Amino acid sequence: MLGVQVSVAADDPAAVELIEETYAAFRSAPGPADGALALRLERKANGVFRVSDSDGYERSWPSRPYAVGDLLSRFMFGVLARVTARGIYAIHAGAVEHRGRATLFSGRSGAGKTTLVLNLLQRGFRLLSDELAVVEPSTQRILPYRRSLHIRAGTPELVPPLRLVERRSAILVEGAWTLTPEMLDEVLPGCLAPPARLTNVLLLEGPPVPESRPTLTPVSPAVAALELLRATWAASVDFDAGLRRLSGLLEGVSCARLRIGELEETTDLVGTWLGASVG
Amino acid sequence: MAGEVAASAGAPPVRSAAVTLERVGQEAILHDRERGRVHVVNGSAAHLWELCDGRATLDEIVAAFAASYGAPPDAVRADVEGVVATFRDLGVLT
Repeated sequence: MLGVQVSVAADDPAAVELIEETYAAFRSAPGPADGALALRLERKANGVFRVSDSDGYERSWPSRPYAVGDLLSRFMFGVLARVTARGIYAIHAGAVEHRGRATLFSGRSGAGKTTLVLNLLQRGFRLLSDELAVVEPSTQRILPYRRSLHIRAGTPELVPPLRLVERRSAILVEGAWTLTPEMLDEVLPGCLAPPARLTNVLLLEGPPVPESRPTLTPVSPAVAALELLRATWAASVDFDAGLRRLSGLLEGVSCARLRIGELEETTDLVGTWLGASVG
Repeated sequence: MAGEVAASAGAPPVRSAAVTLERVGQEAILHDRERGRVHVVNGSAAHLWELCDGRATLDEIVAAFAASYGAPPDAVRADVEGVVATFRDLGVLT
């Protein structure tokens, strides 16, 4: 995955299935072990679940959902640490492409990134990522990152094509499930994007308020850079380097804050702001 | 004490060694590593901060800043002094 070999061992079949389905698009034959990341989830005799990795991390959890969530986090942190060391830059954000232009969506978990991204895909946008915007250093383009999407309960009601594949997926916690890139391309053909130049950034504010009107307020690239820094793992290691990279990335990029309201209205608003003809 | 204050106020302003400036579009971000703070400033303020090299006096900074914008020094003096004072309060200039 992004040039990092990752192995996961778990004595819990549900956890293995979840990891396999979440990162299905990255599955490959084992390669060189240099810099590899090894993760492990074990159920101990006393009933607790222990997560550990080859970086020396170790933590016990009282129940499986917490342990699986921790395993996924360690997976991500481990990969980010390694790709950052290789000069690849990643921002915790969703990203879509339209006519060769990429738009980032940054926001906390539950801010509505995935649902908005899925609705834009129904309008002709294409998916780069719903979780991690990977920047190609030499061109400043956003590269596709094809981790499976995590779909929350209720989202298929908002994005009806998802109902066709909902039952074929691994179940996460609290009714959420995984949507692989292959399944997504099946229900929305041609929706997987090639690399694209970043032209727009949207900072999502708070959780969606479906009964309200959406609002979109332009902000300067400097303000957006600071907000994106909080979503950038590398900035916690070297803030100045992260700031320098984001400053270059956001040069000439249009940025705004978005409060998500009613979904169709929000999608219309975003489409208009992007200057896209979305139908 | 009064003499010390007067001497300090008249000393050439100098950029804090703990602060870096990064330009982003029309604005810039000052990162103060010592205090763990960031400040978003406009392009003019960023230019002014860069002029404070510890050698130029306030009068020379006013003149250089005014020349950058094709304005007479007296037209920008109050603004420059105000921004320098604010930067000193924030600790990005000493």
